[in-house]
Order: sequence, then C-alpha cells, then structure tokens
Amino acid sequence: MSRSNTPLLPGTLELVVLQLLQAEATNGYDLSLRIQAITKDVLNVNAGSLYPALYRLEKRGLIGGRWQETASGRRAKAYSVTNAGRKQLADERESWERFAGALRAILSVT
Amino acid sequence: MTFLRWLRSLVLHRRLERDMREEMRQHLDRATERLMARGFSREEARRAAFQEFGNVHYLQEEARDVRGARWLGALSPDAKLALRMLVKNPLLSIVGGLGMAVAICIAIGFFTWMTFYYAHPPIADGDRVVTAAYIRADTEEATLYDYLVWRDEVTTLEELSAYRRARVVAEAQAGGSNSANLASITASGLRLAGVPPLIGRPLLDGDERAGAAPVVVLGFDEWQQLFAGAPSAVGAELLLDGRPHAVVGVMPEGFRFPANDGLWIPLVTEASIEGPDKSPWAVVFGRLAPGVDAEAAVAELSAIAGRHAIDDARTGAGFRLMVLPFIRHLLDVQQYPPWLVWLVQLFAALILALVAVNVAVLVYARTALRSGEITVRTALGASRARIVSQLFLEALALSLAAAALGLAMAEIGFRQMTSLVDLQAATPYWLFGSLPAETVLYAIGLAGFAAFIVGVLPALQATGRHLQSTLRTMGGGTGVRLGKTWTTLICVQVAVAVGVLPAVLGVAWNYTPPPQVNFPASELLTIRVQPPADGSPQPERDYARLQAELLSRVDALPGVVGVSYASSIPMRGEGARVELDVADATSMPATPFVATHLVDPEYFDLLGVPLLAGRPLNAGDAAEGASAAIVSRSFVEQLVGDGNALGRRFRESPGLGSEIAPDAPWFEIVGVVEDMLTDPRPPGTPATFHGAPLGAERFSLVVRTRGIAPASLTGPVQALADQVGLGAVGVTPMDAIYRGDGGELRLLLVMVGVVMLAVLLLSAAGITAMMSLAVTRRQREIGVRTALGATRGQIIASIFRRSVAQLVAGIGVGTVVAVLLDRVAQGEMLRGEAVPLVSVVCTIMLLSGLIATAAPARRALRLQAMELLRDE
Repeated sequence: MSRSNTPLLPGTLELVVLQLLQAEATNGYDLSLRIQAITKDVLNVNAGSLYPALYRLEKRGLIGGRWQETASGRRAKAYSVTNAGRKQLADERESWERFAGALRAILSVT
Repeated sequence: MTFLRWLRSLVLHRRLERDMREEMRQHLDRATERLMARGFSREEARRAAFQEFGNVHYLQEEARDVRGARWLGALSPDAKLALRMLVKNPLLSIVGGLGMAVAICIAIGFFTWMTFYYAHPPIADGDRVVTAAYIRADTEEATLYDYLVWRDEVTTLEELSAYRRARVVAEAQAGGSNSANLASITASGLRLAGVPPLIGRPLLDGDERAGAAPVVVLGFDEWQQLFAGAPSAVGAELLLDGRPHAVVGVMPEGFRFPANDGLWIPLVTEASIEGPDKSPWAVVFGRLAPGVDAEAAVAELSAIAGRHAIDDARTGAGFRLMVLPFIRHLLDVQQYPPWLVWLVQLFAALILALVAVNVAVLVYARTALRSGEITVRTALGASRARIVSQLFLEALALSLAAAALGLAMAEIGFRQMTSLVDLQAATPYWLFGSLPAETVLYAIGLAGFAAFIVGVLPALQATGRHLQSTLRTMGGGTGVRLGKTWTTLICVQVAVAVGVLPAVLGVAWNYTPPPQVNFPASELLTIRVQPPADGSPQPERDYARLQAELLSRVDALPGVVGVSYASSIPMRGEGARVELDVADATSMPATPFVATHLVDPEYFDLLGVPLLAGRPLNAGDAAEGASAAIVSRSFVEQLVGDGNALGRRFRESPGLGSEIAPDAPWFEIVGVVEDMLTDPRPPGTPATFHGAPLGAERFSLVVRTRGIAPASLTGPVQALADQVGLGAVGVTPMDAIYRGDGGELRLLLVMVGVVMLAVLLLSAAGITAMMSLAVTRRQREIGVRTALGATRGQIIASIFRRSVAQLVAGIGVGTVVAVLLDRVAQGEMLRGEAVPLVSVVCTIMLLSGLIATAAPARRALRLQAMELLRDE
C-alpha cells in the first residue's frame, strides 16, 4: 500500500478535523502534523484543504478559534469544538459508521 | 444566526484578514523550522515550505470565499477609487454636492416637521396623552370651568388635568434672579407625567385649595440658576413676580413638562371660578383610559358638558369638541390632515430628484469622457454590473457627503430656529435641541436615492450601447453621443432657474435690509387679550367696559408710563386689498395690498412714531362710522406717488383673500406716519391706521415702561386680565418679538442665498460640462474646418452659437414660467417688480452660461488641426 497521496473521500475532512479537535484543541499546523502522524503518512492533508475547512467549520459555528501561546512561546490560533460541533460530530460519525459497515458488508461478499 | 455571523465578518473584516495572514505565516515559519531541523538550508527550507503549503494568495482568496468576505475585499479598492474621483473632480464634487446638500436639507426639514406631527411627550404612555378643547378654524377654547365639570365625572380620561402658562420673574432670597416659564398646573398634571421629583415633593391636591400656602416646584435648570443647585433650596422662599412661594421640590434634569416649563405652581381652580361666563382659559388634558379611543372620550365629554349647559352655546357658535394628541395644542399643526403632510414630503423628495437629475447631467458628461476607460475595462472582462456598481459607489460617495452637509445645514437651521422659538413657553421641550435620529436615517436613505439617479442612470446609458464603436474610435473622440435628452435637460434647467429664481430673489429683495424698528421696543410690553372663552356672544359694551378697566388698572402699575391699544400688536397687521379714489396706473401694482390696523388715537404718541404730514387721529376719529385714516410713508410712496396724499380717499377689503365690496366705505387720508415694521409682510409694506373705540373683539395692549424690565410686568398684567375677566393669551416683551422676527428674517435670507447659489452653480456647471463634451465630440470637425481655413472667430462663433441657443431657449421658456407663476399667485410672487427681477435673473443666467462656455471654447482654439487630422 502506498504511504502517501491517498486522497480523502469527499466530505470526510470535516469529520477528521472535528474528531481530532474534540480529542485535543490545537492549531492548524499541529493539526496537519497530527493527521500525518496518526495515519502514518497515509493521509496528507495540505494547507490548501485544511485552512478552508477550518474556516468553514468556524463560520458554521462548529469550532471556535482562540489565539494563545504555545509551549514554544509562539502565538498560535488554537481551535476547539463547540457544543454544536460535538453534536455534528456525533451525527457524522454515526452516518460514517453506517456507511462503512455497509461498504464492509459489500466488500466481504465473495 | 447566519445574518449575525455575516454582520460579524463585515464589522471584523480587517481583524479576520489580519488573523488569517498571521495564522498562515506561523504555519510557514514552523514548516520552515522543521525542514531546517532536517538539514535544509534556510532558503531551501523556506522554498520547500511554500511548495508544501501551496499558493498562499490563492489559499487566502479561498478562505475569503469561505468567510463570504471576498466582495468586501473587492469593495475596498472601489470605495477608495470613488473617493479619489471625488477629489479629482473638485468642480463636480463641490457643485453637485452643494446642490444635493441643499435639496437634502429641504427634504429633511419637511421630514422633521412631519415627525413632529406624530411626536408625543416622553412620559409613560405619552402617546395616549390628549387635550380636550372646543375648536373652530384655528381658535381653540377650553376653560377651568370645563375642567372642573369634566373632572368630577369623566371615566374615559385618566388624571384629567389643566394648566396655564406665563413668563415670570423669579427671585431667590440668596440673590439669584431669572425670568422663567411658569406652568400653573393641577397636581394631577404632574402625576400624569409620572416623573418623581429629584428632591422634595411634587405638587399635591391639597396645594390647590383656596387659601393653601403658595408653593412652587423648581425645574433642574432653575434650581441651578437660582439656588446654585443647593439641596437647601427646598424649604426656601422664591419670589414669583414679587409674590412669595415656598419651594417644595426640584424636578430632575431634562423634565420641562408640559411644554417648556421650569417652574410649577398649583392651579388654584376653585378660587378662579365664578361661573361658566367668567372662567379663565386653560389647557385641559389627560390620558386616554386603557381600551378607550378619542371618539369615546369626545362622546363622554360632550355628554357631561351637555348636562352642565356648557356645550350648546359653543356648538351653536360653530365650535366642535375635539380630543387631540397632546402635541397639537403646542404646535400649529392640527389643521393639516396626514395625507397633506405626506404629500408635502413627497414634493420635497421630488425637489431632490430634480437636483439629482441635474447632477446626473454633470456625471453623464464626465462618464462620457471616461468612456474609453469603461470600454477597456469591459474588454478586459469587467462585467456591466461591476462597472455600474463602481459608478454607483462614486455617486454614493458624493451623495453621502452631500447628505452629511445637508444634515449639518439642517442642524444649524434647527438650532437657530430653536433659539428663536425658545422665547415662547409653548415650545415642546422634547422636540427641540437636535435633529431626531430618524431624520439622520432618512437623510441616508435620500443619499441612496440620489446616488441611484446620479450614478446608475448615466452608468447604464454609458455602458449600454456604443461600446464596440467606442473601442473602434478610441483616441478620436468620446464615442458617446450627446443625446437630445441631455441638451433638452440643460434648456429645462435654465428655464427652471429663470422661472423660479425671480420669486426667490423677490423674497430676498423685499425682506432686506433686516428690520429696524423706529419705536422703543426695549421699553414695551405687548399683551394680546381674548374675550372670555366660553364661546357665547358678549354684548359689545361689556368688552368696552372690561377693556377700559384693564387699561386703567395696568396704567396704575408701578413703572408704567403709558398704555395704548390696537387691533394687533406693533409689527403685526391684518392684510387687506386696497383701492384708491383715483388710481395712478403707472405707479400702482395690479393688486396692491396693505397691512391695516385699528388703533387707539394715542397709539403713535405712546410708541413715539413721528407724524410726517397732516394731523394725528383724535377721539372723534375713533367713533363709529368715522372716515379719517392715517397711512404710512410706504403707502404714499408706493400707491399715491408724487402727489399730495392728504385728502385722498381709499377703501379696503375685509381681508387679503376677499374682494373690495362695492359699498365698502371710503376713508380719507388725514395724516402720514413713518413706516413701522408690519411683519409677517415684508418691511416697507404700505400700512393704514384707523381710529377704533374700545370694545372690539380683537384687542391688544401696548404698555410702555420706564426704569423696569417690561418682562417683569408679565405676571401682574396676567393677574389683572384675569381679575377683570379678560384672559391675556400672549404677554410678550416687544424686543423679544423684534429679535424673533429679525432672527427669522436672517435665517430666511441665508436660506434664500444658499438656494440661489446652488441653482446658479448647478446651471453653470451643467452648461460647462455639456459644452466641454460637445467640443470634445467635435474635435475632428474643428480640425477639418481649421485646416480648410476657418478663422478663430468662426470657430468661437460656432461653439457659442449652440450655447447661446440653449440659453435663449431656456431663458425664453423660464420667463414665461415666471410670469405665469406670478399671475397664478395674483402678483404676490414678484409684487409688481417682474421686469427688474426677471431681467436680473436672465442676465445672471446668460452671463454664467457664457462664462461656462468660455473654457471649452478656449480649449477648441488650442486644438491643432494637423494633430487632430494625423490622429485620424
């Protein structure tokens, strides 16, 4: 299996972002590193996709951003999930799991 | 929520942009550091970080799209360009801006007046506070007797109250002294207002009983002025026109209910009433009970009045009981139905539309000169909407600046007016001071409306057609043709100016110079007296007796050196048409009118107005059927001419609107006096004076004082008028009337001047712009003609021919309009001076038009034939 350039399925980036931000509030740069680290470089979300997704979620009120100082002493905008975001995440997870289960069932057909 | 977020992005646009750029810069810095840690050089790491990140600008645009803020970014340069265009075209900005500012000022003036129509006092349920009165035409009547009768039985009105106003001199023991507006008001009136005193107590019902100790409640300003804001004021003594009152409370700052009052004393109702015929006037008011409308209140009050026999006499005399919003008795607006108010407002907006069309002519001329730029932008892919929105923004910048100027002008005018009307206690305190907030919103709306006409219409026309041909002919001319519409508009503009300006100039002419009174205004007090206000007809001899009694009592007051009377106070006459026995057709206007007065034979002596010829009036001239009359110097100069006026005869109509009856009596001129001001008619209006005995319904006193301020007699005179059973409705020092009139005249002159300047500038600028455009369009033709040997004179003649043709057409039509308007107004507009006024305006318009053409003509002469033809 190729370790890079695996494209995200359409619509899943927001699910990824919400899930990771629910686990830990963080900034855009660290978020992109985390996606790479967790997926062992399988998913590489570039800035061109990540930031518009962050702004879209922020505009919809699903996440909120706040400037704060990082451990290295830099100022960075850390995003966290709002209550509306948590509810949205639950809905999307359920929907995704239903979809994945259905797909798995199809792929198990021999 | 979506709207709120959109609003947030609009308001926080700059901050969100800054955050976004900072966030992406941080991202790139950290990526660079990470790569450097892997052994890349700084440059390599930076380059790699950028590659990894992608196109930053593209990404920022994407992010703006997400935020819905891309249009804001696009708007910003457009707005900057719009402001630059304003500065780049100072002539258009100043002339167009000034014209629109004047129009917006007029429109918001009317609008503000309209808001007064619906205004109510700023107290709890203020919109339900009403007055009850018997009304006939512009006469309004209610008495304390009515109040007492209604108070005990009414259920449809809560806290039924009554008040009377006066101006008094208030003196504190501590030494503070001031004249102030006093309201004698029932305790229920202050209860209705629902505003508790700042310190002390309000008026109580017990204070109204006859024999109760006299008390006064102070307004905040009066407390500051008379007692320097000391809390010990409560309990102190205050002299009101010399009579001691105990201060019992102080009202909070800003409270001046019911009109513009600063002192409140109890209205001692029971002691004032001897019967319905002798009752003094009062304003009766209350709050409509929940669920009750004005009609139900009228029905109940009528029924009560009927039971007490105070209704029939008045309804028989044509009076009608009405319950009206509180504002109506304070402002003279009750006679205007709402639809008329809206119509006037629409008319004011139309004035703006007319001016905006004028400015649109200028903008169109400029837009035509920019057609090359527009065409190139279109060719480069700018949509028509984009270009139109750019031109709209330019117009909006101009019209918003005009709206700001118009608001400033209106605010200055409003303050000026406030300072004039402050002299009267009847000015509602909650209306004046500053323009209402809704006026500002209305001005912004008007600016948008004007920007649409000024910006969008020319833009649609300039971008709609000829773009291809413009592209083909660029460099050789403007490409946009000078349509007949715009040429016609210039003619119409000149015609409107010539049609309207003579009347405007006439007003300025007639009201200049500012008034000079030739009588000792600072020593005079004027009192307008009205008969007992129960509506029932009174025998004439009763009036005569009561008036004579009042005169002798006032004459006996300390500080009074003389008292006289007339049908109206000085500077206020009744208008009438006049006819002379042998009219001098050459010197007399077609429909002469005069200000006529009925006066005491001693009147001129008291005022010190000099007799220029003949004899003064005597007691015999005041008898019934006497035919002697005195006229003013202007009467002789304007109506009699050079001949001797003494012995000439004239007769008059009963009013300005009526004709002279065939059997109207003739009066003989026995004397001529120096002019006195006869406002509201212009200074220099011919005046006539007839002797009159006491006993006429219309009755005004003039009191001359020495050694005391006339205002200090206000209270005593009011009290005397009450005692003899005549209600004094207006007690005003003469110099206050004179100052008020002078201020109004100055305000009027300033307004006239601004309107004239705006019209002249707009016309001149319109002509310059159109001529300039015409010269640009005819460049090639001029080039060819020059090459073929046309002289400079011929070129100039061809330029001016067109301009003169437009001017002459406009002036011709305008002159006809001016004469017709004067005819319709029966000679009131130009007042017999049509020839000089119209001539002056025509000359000004012609000169300004020719000067406006000079600049384009000079440019035409500078065009080099060879260069133009080479361009071809």
